[in-house]
Amino acid sequence: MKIGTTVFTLKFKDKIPCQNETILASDLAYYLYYLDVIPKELVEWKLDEIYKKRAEDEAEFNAKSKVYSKLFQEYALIRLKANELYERNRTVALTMGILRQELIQLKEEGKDLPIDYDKAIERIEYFIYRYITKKQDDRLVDQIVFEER
Amino acid sequence: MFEPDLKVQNYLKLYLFSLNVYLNLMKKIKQITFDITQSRRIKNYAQKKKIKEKDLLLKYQEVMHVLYVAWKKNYGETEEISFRNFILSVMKYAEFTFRLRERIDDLEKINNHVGILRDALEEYERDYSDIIKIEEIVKDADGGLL
Repeated sequence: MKIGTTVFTLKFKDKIPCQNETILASDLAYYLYYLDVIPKELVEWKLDEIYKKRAEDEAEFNAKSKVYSKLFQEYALIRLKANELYERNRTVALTMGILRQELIQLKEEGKDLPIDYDKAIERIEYFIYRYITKKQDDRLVDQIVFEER
Repeated sequence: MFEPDLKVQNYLKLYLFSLNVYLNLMKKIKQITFDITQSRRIKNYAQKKKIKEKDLLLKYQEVMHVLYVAWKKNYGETEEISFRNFILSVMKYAEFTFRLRERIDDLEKINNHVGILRDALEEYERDYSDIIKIEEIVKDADGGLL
């Protein structure tokens, strides 16, 4: 049997009873992705069983699809929200240099405040580094890409 | 019976002949395009799954053998279903099984991603509230200079 222009010649173990080999060959090329799924136990199955199994799979697939579309909606929303918050933090971080300066000044004056100066300064520096200097958060860049066939 | 004169007959013959040539050519072009698509399909699949085309053909052989034995065992003698139709119905079954597996994988993927983004959200909120706390304390101490 020949498939396609680049001739893939195939010899089967038995003579396949098919009138039109070209059609069969194109069927095979079309169903490539499903070859893995065909089990060896197929020999034992009756046709009714195959239909039944197919119906079961289809029902389960539909149920899963519903869950999936809901989840996808949630994913889109949460993604949007995360992006918004990241942008907000970025904007806030732009003015945090002043706060840091202020804190350093207060520390030098020795003013008594209910915070740990060093920790607070460290925290602010981290914030600025995290949201301005460091490049975009990978988690926001990574997208789920679904394969197309 | 109506018979057109010789000139018209010749024109008609020429017309039919060229039409035939054209149709045959179109048929051939269609077949070639189709063949190219199928070849490419096989090549793409082999590339994507990183297997050699040779192995793919071996897999074909195996699957076809299974299909043939199954057909022979159940329907070969009575011939109530042709071999090709049998293949098509098995493939329909395989299609849904395959899609179901894909969907389960996708669900897992998307679940993971939602979890990751939730963590990110929490982290952003935490960072923000920490900074705002500090800012408020400084504001109070400074008398609203900031």
